Amino acid sequence: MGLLRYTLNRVLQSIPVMFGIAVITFLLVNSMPGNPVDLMLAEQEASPELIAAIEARYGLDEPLHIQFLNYIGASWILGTVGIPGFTGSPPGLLQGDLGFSMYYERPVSGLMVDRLPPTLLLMMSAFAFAIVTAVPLGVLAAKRRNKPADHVSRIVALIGVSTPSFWIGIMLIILFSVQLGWLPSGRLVYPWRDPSHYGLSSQLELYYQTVRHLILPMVALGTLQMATIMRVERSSMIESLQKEYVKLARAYGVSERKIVRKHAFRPSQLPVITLIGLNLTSAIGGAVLIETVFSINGVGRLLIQAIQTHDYQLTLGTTVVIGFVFVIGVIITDISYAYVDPRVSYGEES
Amino acid sequence: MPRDNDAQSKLSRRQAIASGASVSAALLLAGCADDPEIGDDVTSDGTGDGADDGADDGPVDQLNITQQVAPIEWDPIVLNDAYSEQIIHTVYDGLYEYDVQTLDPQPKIAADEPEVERDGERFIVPLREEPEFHDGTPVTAEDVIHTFMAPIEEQTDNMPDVDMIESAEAVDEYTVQFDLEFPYGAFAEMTLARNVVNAEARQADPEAYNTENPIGSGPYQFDDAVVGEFADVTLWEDYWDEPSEIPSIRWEPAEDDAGRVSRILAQETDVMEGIPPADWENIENEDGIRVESTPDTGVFYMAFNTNEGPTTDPDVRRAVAHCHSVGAFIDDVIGEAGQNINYPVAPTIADEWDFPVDEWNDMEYEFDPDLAQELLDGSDAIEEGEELHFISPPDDLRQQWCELAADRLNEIGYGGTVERLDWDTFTNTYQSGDADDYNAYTLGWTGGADPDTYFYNLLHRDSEGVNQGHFYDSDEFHEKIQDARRTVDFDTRRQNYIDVTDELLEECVWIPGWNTLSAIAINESRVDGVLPDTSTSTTPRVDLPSVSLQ
Repeated sequence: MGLLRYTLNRVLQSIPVMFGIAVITFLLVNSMPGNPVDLMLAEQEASPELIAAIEARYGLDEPLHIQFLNYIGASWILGTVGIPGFTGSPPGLLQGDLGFSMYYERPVSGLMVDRLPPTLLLMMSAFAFAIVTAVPLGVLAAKRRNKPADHVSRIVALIGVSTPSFWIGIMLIILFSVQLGWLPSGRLVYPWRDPSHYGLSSQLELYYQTVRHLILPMVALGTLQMATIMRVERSSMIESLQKEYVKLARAYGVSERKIVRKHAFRPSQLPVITLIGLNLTSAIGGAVLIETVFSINGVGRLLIQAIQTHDYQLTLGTTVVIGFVFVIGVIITDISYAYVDPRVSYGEES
Repeated sequence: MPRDNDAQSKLSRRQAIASGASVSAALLLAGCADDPEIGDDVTSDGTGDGADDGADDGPVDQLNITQQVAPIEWDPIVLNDAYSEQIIHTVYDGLYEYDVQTLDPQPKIAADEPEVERDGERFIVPLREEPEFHDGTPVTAEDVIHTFMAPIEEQTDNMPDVDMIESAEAVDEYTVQFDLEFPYGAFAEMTLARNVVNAEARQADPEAYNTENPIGSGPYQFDDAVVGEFADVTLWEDYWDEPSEIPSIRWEPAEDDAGRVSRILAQETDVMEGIPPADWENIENEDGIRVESTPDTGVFYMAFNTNEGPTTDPDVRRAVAHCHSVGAFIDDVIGEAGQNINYPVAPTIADEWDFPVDEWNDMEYEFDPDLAQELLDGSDAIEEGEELHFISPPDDLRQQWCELAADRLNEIGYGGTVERLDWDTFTNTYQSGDADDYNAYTLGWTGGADPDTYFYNLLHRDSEGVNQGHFYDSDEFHEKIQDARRTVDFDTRRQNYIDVTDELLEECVWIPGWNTLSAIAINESRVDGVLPDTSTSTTPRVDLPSVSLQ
């Protein structure tokens, strides 16, 4: 099976997963106690007519199953083919419409377009930091097993795994921003924005400021990932270095450096890749806190706001997009297996 | 020595890795290093040359303000949150606007005080002829009418603010006549203080008006915004009134307390609103940062369920009040961020209305656990050892108040349980009047410039199940509130409110708690003249001519 076909298969398999995400999230969101209209009216003495008008405006007056059909766009399809009762229904998820946010009074897709790039920038940089630091440290720890370097790296990993990322973030801010004044305490400077927005005169200055603003949130979010990747890298490398073919290579007099690089390193990366692939999307949970601490305008903060304000469509839209990113992450992980390990194929042997 | 057949390629890979590592290290070092070249023309925030030199990214002639919650929309007809209003009040002029310190409404677009006819059922407002919108069109009676009638016609969230208006019509191009469904005592103080929108521009594209292009007649023009990230406004050169001194303003949200406080401590922002009580002292003691505060319109209180259960007996309620000290709690927990009050309105309003606050403060239930125990022992409504159930919203201060009262009840042989609920569950629970749900609850309220916003919304029978969960049953009590609401006679209204407060305190329906302070932290090296307002939605006041950048 070729790569393209394999990828296509995986994408098709993800459709029921996405549908399941939409159904479960819809039910969960609607089972939350309370009413978004109450929150919207902020405890004002509102007439029943006003409450009814607001509910009708956002489709909250419909039965739950109709609300779901409206949300996924099935009502629009039924209306288009002329089924009575559905004519004039708005487009939905199937038509690429993520809905309309009650709280922000804006289309959800527009909000996602604004919020996704900062989150991706943060997560990609955090993972770059984690991989660049964790892989060499993990290899070093495996090579020098039970020696001081190994002990130090294990302690670092333990601290990284057991310390909440938001606490690391706050400590970094206190040290590097408030006490030393070396780095800014929050927000990101986006490299895709015009430099004049930040009072800068050149693109180079913009990139420089982007790096400065990214360092603290990147380290805060990346530390946990770094620690987990390092632990897996170390144990995987130790396992590989004990394999028979490695012993044979040693017996042939192959240098230790070459053994590590050519014979042990690549096969050891399979569990690491799995971990990175899965963590990429689960790290969104950490990003929620880091985005809040560092005032980064990302998807994590948007999701928290959506839940707090009972903004049903925004909660659904955000969750579906995160689910979509997760599915893509898993597919990319699967594809990268075969690149790293030639023994892995995309299906049946030819 | 082992043979190495791969020396050439290994060398190049090593070089590549080394180069990559060098670039990464250089980027990290560069990130931490100072850069005087950039610092000169960036700003004062720490983006350019460290955090020592003042504000944040952005031009040096830009005032940077950090908000505690992100604003979301820009159309006064639909916006319903204080943080959007903080920005919008610089873009729009109100028909009337409140004095910074007294909450006394002053004519702005209006030329004078409203003329009151038909015993308070008709208000005639003359308009100035000078004000113009940012698109060059004059502000006319039609714009004012649209401002007040659109929330009703479009049934927006703000409809309850204006739904006492039966009709509004233009007497001429610069005079508006409002006819009300009933004489509404707070109409001049509360309702008329609304931002005037550009009717034509808004009706042409309401969505763009709310999200991209609000057009007002205020001292600043809306420039650009990304919701949740920033909002920029720039000085409007042709402003009809006295102009501000600040060329441009940028608002940025920092919702996390620690992150927000760090920004002002690192002097990365010029002004920060939303000082957490726990950080008040730290910020105040920091060199180069000044804290300015004024009493706001918020009141916090504990209310009892007088509908069902043990707290239907006034002696049980009085016992709860006697068994703990609200004053000591405020001193210990809230500190300088609030002040103890024993009446149901903000001190600014009490001052404006010349209410007998000294007498009311003398009526405070003193900390006397013995008396509390005696009252409980003598009550038929509660059995020995019975527990009272307190509920609080998701707020530490109000939860701690409940815990204090419950602990003290435990100490005198009775008991208390405390339940902290999320907002939605809390509001649904305290509105039930069911003793199984609660015996007492703690809550806060941000009122306004007229006592009606407190008395009617928090105490009157009409608000039962909306904002009121005490269900206190006294016809005279509720009639006085209603009478005060439906007359424009100041003396009658004042006396009614005094009588109602006396009864509220004597019957211990409520234990008033504290009034919070509207406070801002200011980077002294950058900005001067910025003041907090009595209302959160207009704090900080940056549109005043006295505000300047250093």
